[in-house]
Amino acid sequence: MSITELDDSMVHSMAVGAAFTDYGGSITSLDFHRTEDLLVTASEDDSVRLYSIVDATLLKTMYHKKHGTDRICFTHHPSSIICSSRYNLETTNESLRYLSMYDNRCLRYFKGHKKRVVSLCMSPIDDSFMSGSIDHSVRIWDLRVNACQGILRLRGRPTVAYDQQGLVFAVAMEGGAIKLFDSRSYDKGPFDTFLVGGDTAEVCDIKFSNDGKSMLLSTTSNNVYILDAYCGDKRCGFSLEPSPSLTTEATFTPDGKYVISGSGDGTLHAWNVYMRNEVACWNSYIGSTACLKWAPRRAMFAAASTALTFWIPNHSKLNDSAGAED
Amino acid sequence: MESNEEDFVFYGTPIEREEDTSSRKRKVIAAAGNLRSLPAWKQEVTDEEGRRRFHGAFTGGFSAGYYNTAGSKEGWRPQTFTSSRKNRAEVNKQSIYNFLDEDDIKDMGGQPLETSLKFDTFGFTATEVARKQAERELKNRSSTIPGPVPDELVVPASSSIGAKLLLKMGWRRGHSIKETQATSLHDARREARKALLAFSVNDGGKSLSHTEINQSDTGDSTGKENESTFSSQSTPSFVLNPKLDLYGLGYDPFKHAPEFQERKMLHESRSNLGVKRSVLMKGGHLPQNSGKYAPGFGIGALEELDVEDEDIYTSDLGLLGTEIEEDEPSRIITIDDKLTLEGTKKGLLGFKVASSSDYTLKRFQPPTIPPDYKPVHKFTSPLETMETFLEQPPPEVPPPEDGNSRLLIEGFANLVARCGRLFEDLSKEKNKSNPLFSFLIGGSGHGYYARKLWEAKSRRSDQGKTVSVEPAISDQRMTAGTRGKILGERPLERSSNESPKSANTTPVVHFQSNLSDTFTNSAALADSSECPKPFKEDPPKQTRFELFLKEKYQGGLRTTSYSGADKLSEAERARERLDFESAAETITKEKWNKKDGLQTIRQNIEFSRYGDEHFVSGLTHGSSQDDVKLADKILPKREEFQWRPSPLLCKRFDIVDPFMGKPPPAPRPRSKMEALAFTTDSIMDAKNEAIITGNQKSSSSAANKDSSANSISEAQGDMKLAAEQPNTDPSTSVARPVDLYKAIFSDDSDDDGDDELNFSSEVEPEKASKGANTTLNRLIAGDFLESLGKELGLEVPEAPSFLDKANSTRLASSTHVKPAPALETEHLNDKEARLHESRIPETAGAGSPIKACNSRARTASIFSGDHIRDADKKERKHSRKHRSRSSNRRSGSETDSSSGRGYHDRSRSEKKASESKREHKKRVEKHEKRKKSGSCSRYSSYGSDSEDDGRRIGKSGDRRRHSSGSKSGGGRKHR
Repeated sequence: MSITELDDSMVHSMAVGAAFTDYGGSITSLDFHRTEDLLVTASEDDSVRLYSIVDATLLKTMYHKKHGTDRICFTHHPSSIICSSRYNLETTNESLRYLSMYDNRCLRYFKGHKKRVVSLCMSPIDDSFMSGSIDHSVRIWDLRVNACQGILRLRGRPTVAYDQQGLVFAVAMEGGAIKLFDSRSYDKGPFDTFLVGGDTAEVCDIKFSNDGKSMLLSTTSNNVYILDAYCGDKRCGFSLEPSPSLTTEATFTPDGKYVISGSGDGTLHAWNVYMRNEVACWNSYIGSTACLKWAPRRAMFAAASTALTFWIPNHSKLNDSAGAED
Repeated sequence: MESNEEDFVFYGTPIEREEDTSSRKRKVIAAAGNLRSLPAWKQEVTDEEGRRRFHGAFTGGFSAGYYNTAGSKEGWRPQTFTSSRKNRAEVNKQSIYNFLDEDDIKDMGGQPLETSLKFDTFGFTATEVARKQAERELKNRSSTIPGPVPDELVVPASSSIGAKLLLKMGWRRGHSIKETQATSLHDARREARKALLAFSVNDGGKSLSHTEINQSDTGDSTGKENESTFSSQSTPSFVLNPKLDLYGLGYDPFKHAPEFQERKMLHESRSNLGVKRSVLMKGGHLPQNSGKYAPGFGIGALEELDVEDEDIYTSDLGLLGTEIEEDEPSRIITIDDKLTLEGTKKGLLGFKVASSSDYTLKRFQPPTIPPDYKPVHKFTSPLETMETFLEQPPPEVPPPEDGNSRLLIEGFANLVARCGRLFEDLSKEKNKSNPLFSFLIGGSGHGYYARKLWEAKSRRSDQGKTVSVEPAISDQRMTAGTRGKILGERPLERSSNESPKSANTTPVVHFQSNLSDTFTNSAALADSSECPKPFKEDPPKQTRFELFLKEKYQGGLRTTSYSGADKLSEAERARERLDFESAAETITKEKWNKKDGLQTIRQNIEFSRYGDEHFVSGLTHGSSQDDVKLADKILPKREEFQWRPSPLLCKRFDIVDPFMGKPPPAPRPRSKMEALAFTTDSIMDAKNEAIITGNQKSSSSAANKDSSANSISEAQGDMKLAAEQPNTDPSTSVARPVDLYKAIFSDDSDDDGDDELNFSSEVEPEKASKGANTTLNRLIAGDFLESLGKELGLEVPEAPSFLDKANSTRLASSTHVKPAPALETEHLNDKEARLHESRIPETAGAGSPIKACNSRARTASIFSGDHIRDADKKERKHSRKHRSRSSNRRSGSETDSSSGRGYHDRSRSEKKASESKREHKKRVEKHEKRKKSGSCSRYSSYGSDSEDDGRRIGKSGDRRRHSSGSKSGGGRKHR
């Protein structure tokens, strides 16, 4: 049986398939490789762990005690990652590192950010990547060059995201303003600006859907909004229990049909974007999740707080429900 | 000997030895390292042997081959003959490598050249290869995730966007994009064919061959017929129309005279095949290309001399009763031809054979034109198909039992209807002996035939009428106007100076029964001439009002430009719209009540001007039935407006935004009214009031520019209107942020604090510039009010569910912004004041820890802010009232005394309230000043914007847990 499409019952049947509880601190970020079945996590215990999501095995653990690990992001190569630092930011300015996991070596330091990086994303088409830091700047880098390629200074906590074509990137800033830039001519300024009014909280995460039609915003007050990427209209919004100390993440499914988000009360919610109804609500079992991402090519997602869980469709349950429907 | 050698004198350059060359080669290789550092003009291009490739022009230029010769080391030798007698089988197959030299092969990098199935513009094959590889890997991979996992949730796009679009529009692969034309013409043809087939089945092989011939040589017409039949296929099955003539490819002698085409074909086929009758029949049943072309007969200019032509003229033409008169120029040519060709007879068509070799040109007099010549074709008898049908319909006759003959009769009747009675006569003559066609002569089935013929003819004459109209339309490009005409819409009339009203119009309420009605019919008010004229004093306004009425009660096409009102400001326009709205409503109600509405309309307008009265108070309040009727009156409308692609779309398709840098389109004036139209009455009124207050402020202050407070309020009014428009230009809102804290609580602009966000940037330019730095410090005053309401335990209008459309929520929240009617606000004010009084001492004497104090202070400040706002509102109202009264006096109409009294009473109480509040405010300000340093930063984080209507969603969503959230104290006040 092969899954051709995600549907409500399938999403509803998702359950924890694997859990990794050996973390020494909470997980700060995780990222899937775009094409390989790999997952990398960064944790507060300064570890970077690499998982194979096909067989749910830990492939590699690396510790970065000097700089610490915060945000993490795969590059196009399956064994090289970009990682942001937590320690020694003021002294070294080495806020971003280009790491090779193959030989556990730092390939390059990207110096520039004075403070912690809170948002990091890699262009899907070329070697450029972006980072947003709480020093009120967004920087655009190229993996091949040490020097920063572009700086955007703004107010508040910036959040960045490339769209799936890599043509456009979005930067969210204070007050719910989303600015869209052309990634080839970002120096010309934003070509479009949306205002996501009504929510004064800061946007902590932007994601574009794979079809490029929607944007997903999650705010620090745990509201999730889906915007029309073209005109910036709010298509729907979901409100969740607040989690005062940590930011939660929301994610699209690869088909853009469902949105999943963690909540402050330790649950996970899934909504159908088109029907605008809640499809499922699960207990996350690991408290409120700070990181949540759907695998780009699999029917699975990973949720993490102090532990990492892999969620997959529970086929026995699925069959049961299908039988019940029949 | 050594010494001797010195005595030798050397001439010329020594011959280089082989060893020397190799040493030179070595040298060159060694130098290659250095070469790179040399400047370009000093570098030397060598081949792999180290020889120089390029020489100076005098030393041979480019060296190629064997020392610039075609020879070889052994010299040039022609290929020797080898007999292929023995090694015959040896076929040397050419491969692509025969045509590539070493460099090319090297460039290929070991990859063999292959052909690809697709033209790989957008990386098709790349994705395909990637997918295949993924599939291959999938087999190798072991997966513990139960079940084979969808490896390809995201399938890479395999077709271009154009193909996708076409597919969405219903196109299928392998089909052409042309649309099929299923016309009645086609149907008739099909029927005729059916009849012929039935006929041929019975008639045996002879007639079958007829039809075959017909189909094979029908020429263009058949081609067209087939084209329309198979037009959905992009690949033609076979060429039906072989080229038989001697014209150049693509040359159509009948291009401008299609009416002669048929004649030509007739003649041609007859001369080629000698099948006279069948052709005639074919000529009969052949469909005309369009209704315009009569089944005329004629020949081309160059055909006249043919021997058989005479035949045609005598027999067929006479039979058909048509007569052809040629145009003059063509006649000249043909006569010329005749003269030259008469001698030789064998000359090529169109070519002259020289009559004499000495090139003496013979000149002939131009032919004398007959005096009765008319340079037009005249057909002696009008075509039958165009005849009007005056005959009485023959009686209905049951069809004959025999299905075949019935089919034949029907088809034949169709044919005759199309081709004329001549055809009938012909076939009558031809099929005299055929029992199948006995119905023609009057045998069995004649009655049925007569009936069918009549039916077909009448149908055809109906079609003829429509056909004559259609091509004219389709010729030109369809404009919105013509489209509207086709749809049956009534175009907007620009001039509305119709005859004055007819008083005794019966008030008819139209309920839409069908769509065309909604487009064309107007409801009771549609005819502006019938309605009373409430704006008689101001003719342009009256015209605008009539236009407005049309827009409101009459569907149809219209442009967005609100004609006539272009020079008005946005605020004025909005105010006028509201005037119109109220007037229109009154008119309708009057009509229902069968009263003369003019007076009350005036009153109503005055009421609405005051803005603090419900504007239908003077009338019988609209019952629910009225509301229903009003709601029913909303008609479907179409409008033209400039579509501009969203910038992201342009980026995605990698095109330059055609509207880049241009100002955004003017906000569509109708949007607001639409929103109003869909609200329920109460909401609408509340909103109307809100807008009116804003407008009134602006208008009144336009009259008295001297008072600064008014100018501020004007700005607010304007800004508020802008805020009402959804999706106004976001950049302006970014550019005009405001330190709201200051805007509300600072001394100089203490007048701020209307319901919506206060943009004081227009008033204070230096602030605007400051605001550019303190970006996005925005605050929803609505949130303040809301939280206030919660804390006071007042009723806050229930927000619709969180997932509702932005539209409804916006409306709901706009009611929330102005929740209470005027009378209620008084109560509220008192209550607030009391509450406030009780609270302030607490706050002022706060000895508690700073955090608690902070939170409470904030509530207090919110309170006070609100009070200030209320107070100011009252003040403004006050001044406005004065002004409007004076203006009323100016205009000569009397003020409603009762409302005036009411106002006085109220203003007194308001004054009291506002004074107490002002005191209040001062106290709070003092308090705030103390707190300022502490709380300022916090306020800045409560940025929000009031412009995006979508915001309300978030707010209403918050509202759910607000009850708990707002109590949780200072930590998170608004979220």
